[in-house]
Amino acid sequence: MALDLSRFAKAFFEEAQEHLYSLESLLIAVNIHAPDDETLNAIFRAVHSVKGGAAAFGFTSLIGFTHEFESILDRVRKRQLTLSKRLVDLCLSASDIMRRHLAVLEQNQAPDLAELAAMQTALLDTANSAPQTPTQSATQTSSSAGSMAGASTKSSTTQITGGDKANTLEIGNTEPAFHVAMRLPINDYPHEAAIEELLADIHGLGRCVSHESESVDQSQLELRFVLVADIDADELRESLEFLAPADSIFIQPTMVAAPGAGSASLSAPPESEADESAYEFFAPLDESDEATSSEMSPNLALGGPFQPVAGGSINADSPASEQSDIALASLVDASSIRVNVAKVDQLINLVGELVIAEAMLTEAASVLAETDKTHLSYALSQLQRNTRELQESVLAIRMLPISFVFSRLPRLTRDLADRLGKEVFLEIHGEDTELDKSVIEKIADPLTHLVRNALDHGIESPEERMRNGKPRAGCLSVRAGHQGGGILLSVADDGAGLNRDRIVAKANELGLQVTDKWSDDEIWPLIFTPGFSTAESVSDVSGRGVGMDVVWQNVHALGGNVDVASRQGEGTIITIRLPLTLAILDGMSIKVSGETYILPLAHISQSLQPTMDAIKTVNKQEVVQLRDEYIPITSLKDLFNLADAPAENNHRGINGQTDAIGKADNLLVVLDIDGKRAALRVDELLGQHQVVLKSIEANYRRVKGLSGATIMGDGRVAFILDAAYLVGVAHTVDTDLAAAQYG
Amino acid sequence: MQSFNRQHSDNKLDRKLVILQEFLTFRLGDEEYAIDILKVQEIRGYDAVTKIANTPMFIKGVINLRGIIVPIIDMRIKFNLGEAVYNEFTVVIVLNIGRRVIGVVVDSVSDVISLAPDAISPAPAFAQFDTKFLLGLANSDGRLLILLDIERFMSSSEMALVDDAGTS
Repeated sequence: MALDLSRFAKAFFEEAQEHLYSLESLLIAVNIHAPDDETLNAIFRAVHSVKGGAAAFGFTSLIGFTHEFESILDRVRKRQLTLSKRLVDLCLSASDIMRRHLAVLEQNQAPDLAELAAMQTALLDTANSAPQTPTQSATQTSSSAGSMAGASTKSSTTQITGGDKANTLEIGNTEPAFHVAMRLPINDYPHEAAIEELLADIHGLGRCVSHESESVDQSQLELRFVLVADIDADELRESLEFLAPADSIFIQPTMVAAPGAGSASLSAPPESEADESAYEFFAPLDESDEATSSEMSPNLALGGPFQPVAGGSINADSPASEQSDIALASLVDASSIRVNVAKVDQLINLVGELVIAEAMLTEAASVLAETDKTHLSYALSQLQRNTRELQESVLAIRMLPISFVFSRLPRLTRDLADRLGKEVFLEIHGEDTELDKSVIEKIADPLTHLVRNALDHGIESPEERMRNGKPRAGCLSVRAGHQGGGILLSVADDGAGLNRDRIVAKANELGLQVTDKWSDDEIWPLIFTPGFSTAESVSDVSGRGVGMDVVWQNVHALGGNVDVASRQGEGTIITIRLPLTLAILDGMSIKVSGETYILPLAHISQSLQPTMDAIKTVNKQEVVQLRDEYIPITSLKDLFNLADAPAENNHRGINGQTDAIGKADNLLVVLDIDGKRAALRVDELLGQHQVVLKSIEANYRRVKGLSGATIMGDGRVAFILDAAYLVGVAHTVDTDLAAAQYG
Repeated sequence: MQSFNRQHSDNKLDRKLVILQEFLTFRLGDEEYAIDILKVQEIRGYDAVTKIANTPMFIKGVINLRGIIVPIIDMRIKFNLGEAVYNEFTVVIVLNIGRRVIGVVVDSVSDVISLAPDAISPAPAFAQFDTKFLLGLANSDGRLLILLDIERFMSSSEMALVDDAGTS
């Protein structure tokens, strides 16, 4: 084939994953007892699309599987097969297996065919043993559906007696192809590699999309395959006669690219070489199935003939191009384009540069004489507005709805609740809330963990809930929403709540000095300590004590924080506060010892200029009284050794340098991290900026106390202070110790 | 495509005949150093830097190089050569070391020279300076050139430019 498909393969994998994704959410959403046609059709289409793609790219293993899968789903949507929880479970596992399979294929590795085959068998078994839908289903309104229901009885009998056979007739692909079965002397093909070689030869005739071989007796081997080829059946036969005795070759022209031509049918001993009988053999169409296949066509909008076409002399090009049209159409449907993240990031960087350039220009213009700049300032303000808008739009490209994370929760909840024998009702709110892609990626795991934890430890078993006078089914509510300049995520359950006594006991066991006098607000955060788990038994779900600390770390790494609220017997709410984006930060620029720094605005609670007597020292640590609270004061000058003071004696408390400023113009900025506060001594407050975050680590290493850098209006670099570090240092009584611990 | 390939292989052939390596030479005090020119991204004047807290003296700080934050190292301070004065003649060589961009301050950039491998002699053991950072010594028109393995030098723990596994 002249067209190199491999470069489209990536698109296929991405698309297939998306289809599986929607399949999964549809399967979870579907009402098992009264499924609506819309959902069932969508479920079918998702699998069908994967199959179409797999066929186009020749992933034979997948075609066979999706074909069977699709057949079953087709029966379901035609109400020939009743949807059961078991079937949905199975479909979900099937989707998992396909996902795995795709991942393996994408890396050009050998997929686990046995797993696929086992799943296929399981699907077929379930489908065939499942009760048939009674014909009077209320949701069937269209006349065609009605007539189908009538036909279903007949087809179902075929399926039960005939096993797999009926499924092989579902045709959803319009490439001209041949089912070929031939017997080969086993001695010539002692192993798989020899067969592969043979197939490679056959490849010259067309595209061999699937094959299976099986020894018939001690001397013969039966090889079956599907060959997608635009040639005459007789021509094919002639070619194949070089490889095997003429009377052992069966060729069945068809329009199906899908393989898996029922093993039941093919394993029977071949009797005749006539195309007629082979046709019957491979395609025991009964009327209802014919109806099934033609019924499919309007849905698939393929329009081509679905019945097997004898002779198979149809131009291969047109159906193939039709297939790619469908792939295109599905892309257009989503009205989005796929763009490499690196390109978007470059765009963001460039716009960031533009914003800086604009700021530099504005600053340069500000020193001009008033008379010169009337025109200029108008143009500049225009430029400023446009660049800001541009920046916002560009940043919005990276924003994704949090449903990307939330949509995996229903599945997770469902599986877990099943496994744990609990009944859970999952509520999701605010899934349209948009977050930066990088934040979304990093919050997925913590959020999943919180949900898992809530299910495992929070929500009680139905029996226990009944005993406590609660409804059998627990309620798990996951919310997202905007708050201030950030995003608020919460995972709330109405379960047992955190067990205070057990947490205290466990904390003491871990060597933390915790007493019963601690308030709840002090106790709850203990669950984020590494190695902390109060679960009485370690399950495969959670309880190993890894997880909550990871949640805490991940959230903090994102510049957010975690809150816990809990009441015994009533439930637990865990709230995560996150910045909207990692690319831009609202900051306050300050000046200390002539250096400009940026403080994240989100962590500033206030700034103040206290009087002399408001500042006291406690064990040489300066504190400032703010209402009823004493807040430790931390000095950048000391921490960063900013002044020309010798480094040795500068760690502790105040000294000559700080006095030099004079306490009268003490300017303090109060930082707030998770309720912990510290006051930072600054020389000057410069103003509020939206700054573009730049990494220091990209070309240098991590620097204590700095969370990043940005470029100011004058083109110079200013560092962004790590508020959590500053507060942490201030709260460690001995600053030397703090330096050892944090620095 | 084919003609391109041929050209490419021709180049290779040329290199095999005479493997000349190009070096950028610069002065630090009275000494002349040379580094592999392929590591050099650009040469620019010295801008005001933003100091980084609690760093060794030779790390001057960072600058904004077209939107990226680039650390600046003063080689004169590091090697204790020459006077660390900063004026309009002070030169920063911007290097590409691995995937990092690092700027080094030197007294002046001299020129670009090509050296054949046999023109480079191994460095004798120095007391104060670790010879593992030296590619060797070379003589060019009577000048002694110290060939510096700039990549190894910049990546060394001594420079503390990159995060070690142990520190955080």
